[in-house]
Amino acid sequence: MSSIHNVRSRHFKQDIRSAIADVELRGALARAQEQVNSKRSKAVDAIAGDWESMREKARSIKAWTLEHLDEQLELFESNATRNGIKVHWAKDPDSACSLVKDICSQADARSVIKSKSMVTEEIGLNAVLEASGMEVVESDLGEWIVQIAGETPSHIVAPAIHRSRKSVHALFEKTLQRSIPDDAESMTMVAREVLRKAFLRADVGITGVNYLIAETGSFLVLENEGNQRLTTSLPRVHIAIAGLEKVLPRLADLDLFLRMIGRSGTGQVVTTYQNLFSGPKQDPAEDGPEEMHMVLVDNGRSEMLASERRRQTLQCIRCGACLNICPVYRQIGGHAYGSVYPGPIGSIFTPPVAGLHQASQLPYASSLCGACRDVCPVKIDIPAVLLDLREEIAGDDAQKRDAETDLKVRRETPAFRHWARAMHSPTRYRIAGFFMRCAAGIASRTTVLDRFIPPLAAWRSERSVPRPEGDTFRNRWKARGRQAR
Amino acid sequence: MTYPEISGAMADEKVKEIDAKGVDAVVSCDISCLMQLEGRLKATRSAVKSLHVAQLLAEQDPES
Amino acid sequence: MNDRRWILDRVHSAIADVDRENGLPDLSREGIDGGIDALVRRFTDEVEAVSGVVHHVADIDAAARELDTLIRSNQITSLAVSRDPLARAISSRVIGQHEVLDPEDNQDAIAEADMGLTGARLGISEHGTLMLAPEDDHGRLAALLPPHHVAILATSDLVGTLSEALARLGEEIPPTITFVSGPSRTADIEQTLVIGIHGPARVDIILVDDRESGTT
Repeated sequence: MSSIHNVRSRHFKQDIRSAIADVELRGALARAQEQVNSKRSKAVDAIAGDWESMREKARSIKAWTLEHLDEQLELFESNATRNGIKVHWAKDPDSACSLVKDICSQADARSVIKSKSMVTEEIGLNAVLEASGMEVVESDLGEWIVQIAGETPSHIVAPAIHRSRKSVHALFEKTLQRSIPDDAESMTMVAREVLRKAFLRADVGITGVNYLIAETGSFLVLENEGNQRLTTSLPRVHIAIAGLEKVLPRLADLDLFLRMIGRSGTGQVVTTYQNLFSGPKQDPAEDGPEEMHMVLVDNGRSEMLASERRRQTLQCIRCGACLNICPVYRQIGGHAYGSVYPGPIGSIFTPPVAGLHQASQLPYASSLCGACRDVCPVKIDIPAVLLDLREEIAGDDAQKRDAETDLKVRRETPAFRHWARAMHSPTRYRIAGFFMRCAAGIASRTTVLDRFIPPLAAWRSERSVPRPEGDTFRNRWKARGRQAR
Repeated sequence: MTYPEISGAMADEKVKEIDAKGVDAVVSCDISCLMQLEGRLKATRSAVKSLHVAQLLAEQDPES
Repeated sequence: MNDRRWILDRVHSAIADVDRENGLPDLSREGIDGGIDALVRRFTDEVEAVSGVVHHVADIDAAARELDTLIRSNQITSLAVSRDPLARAISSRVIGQHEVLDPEDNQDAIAEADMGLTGARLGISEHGTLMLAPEDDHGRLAALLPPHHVAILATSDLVGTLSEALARLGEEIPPTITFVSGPSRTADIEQTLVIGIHGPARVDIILVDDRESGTT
């Protein structure tokens, strides 16, 4: 997968099956989810009644910013430029990658060091830089693990969450051709030593961005490991890449967002390092980058912004809480989604960016339980956006869905049309109810109906059809009302 | 859900938890969830009953 | 093919007619009550909660003794010192066998040092955070490359919250600010916490009380 535009949605069913068959993967995911969720609850409970009002404030700041995004972006640009940051704009992955490649070439870069950035995965940057002969090294431990394994991240915060310690150990020994103790600490220290050399030889450092601050022309990036501090301290050039939606209007907004994102993402009160950049070094004798570039990437965001129901997707601060709480993610892990952004947020972000046809199966990979909406620190109503996407995918234009989804839509649409008609008036509901009870009566005794209604067989393989007994709820409710009077 | 593999795996985990809690019945207000859970509980020969919230209320109702 | 114009036009028309939020919410909140003592207490607790250590000392001499102990007990053979005047004053009072490196020394040498000693712009009590502005004291590499970072902070530079710290910056925002809460950490291998991956594995903060003497 080279960028978000290469969604593996066509293999979705197959990928789900292999993920579910992978007992080790599911065990690892369940343990990881439980650990991070209990840390998250503790961290959130510690600020007690404040959390809900913080969520509302965070939501409203993000919503306000999106509603003023043109002015806010221009304000950021003019302030950042005044600070000496070179601001670039890229409408799509091709444009973004060639901008970055050109900056690297102009800097005569042979070696590029990166700290964790989802947007660079989204635009498929590494492959482009490597194709022009540059060495690209991921320096976040999890990212490095998936890089040397030739994989992609399976979680937006914890890229190697799908891998066991044993498999990482085997990977390290194979890659580094030496014997390494198999405890997490020893392996981490080996990674430190190998990556430290990569830092010292790098010509360009590339980071993502958590927040662009319009008011001051600064940007802030979060991390725990210190790899990002190294990425932005040792190389001569620093390139930061951000989606358009990362803007916050005021520097003071950080006080709120930084108290929320650590708690929400990993259950930390705050992340270990928070790096605020407001320009390249001023004194030539200083350490630190001489050049600082900011690449602002659209890639479908302006289109999402135009949709009233989908706009809220852009409020996302990439904390990963929705992945950590999601019962579907828990069963299949990140890779099965086939997108750079997995999990609930990925299922609403990917289809509009990659194209509905490419990712039409993702909005259906949800039980709509709403846990993601309840944990989201910026109150994105993910189930509502999933339904909005489903509505468009299942609409008249068959180009908006792949063959698999089309089959499903053709099967289900008539049934739901009847259902909608039945729900339209009490009389119809009563008549439909009568037939449903008869059908359920038959279906609970025999499987004869399955032959005429193929989806029923699939549906039944997972369920037990109840046998209707006694009088209906409606009749009993009515009778009860009469008695009470 | 469209993917029975996923919903099946989710239900299996739920049923395991329900069984481990040593309860008599599991109550829900969602028919679809209930039918799925009941199917899984039966398949594992669990003694736990599955009830719709209306059934539970009707059992408690002195007037019915 | 101007991407800037293309993007801004599309963003502009996307939100031209939307219903907008009623302004931005007020984020002002209570700081930490109880004066310097409360700030010191909270700072110490929070730094410890993230696996750092605070040494609260009465004056520069006591700070030098504390640094001396850290150097001896950790068998430090080379110490990279930033240009922070207080850090310099303290390190110059320590007579040890260790080599002292300067920000002028090349980065490979600083990377090989066992300990880095720097100043800090501010300390934020609420989360046990050091606010480093590396250009203040040319301390960027000393605070980052060696496995052990010792920061010197004056009690008058403690504030309650990030809001207060940002307010103290005023209009002058340094090119890089790094907020540090404890040592470097990762949990990327099976969620097992490991301290000291890329940044310092140990963070000691010598908190010099400057209430009486006004030494800083």
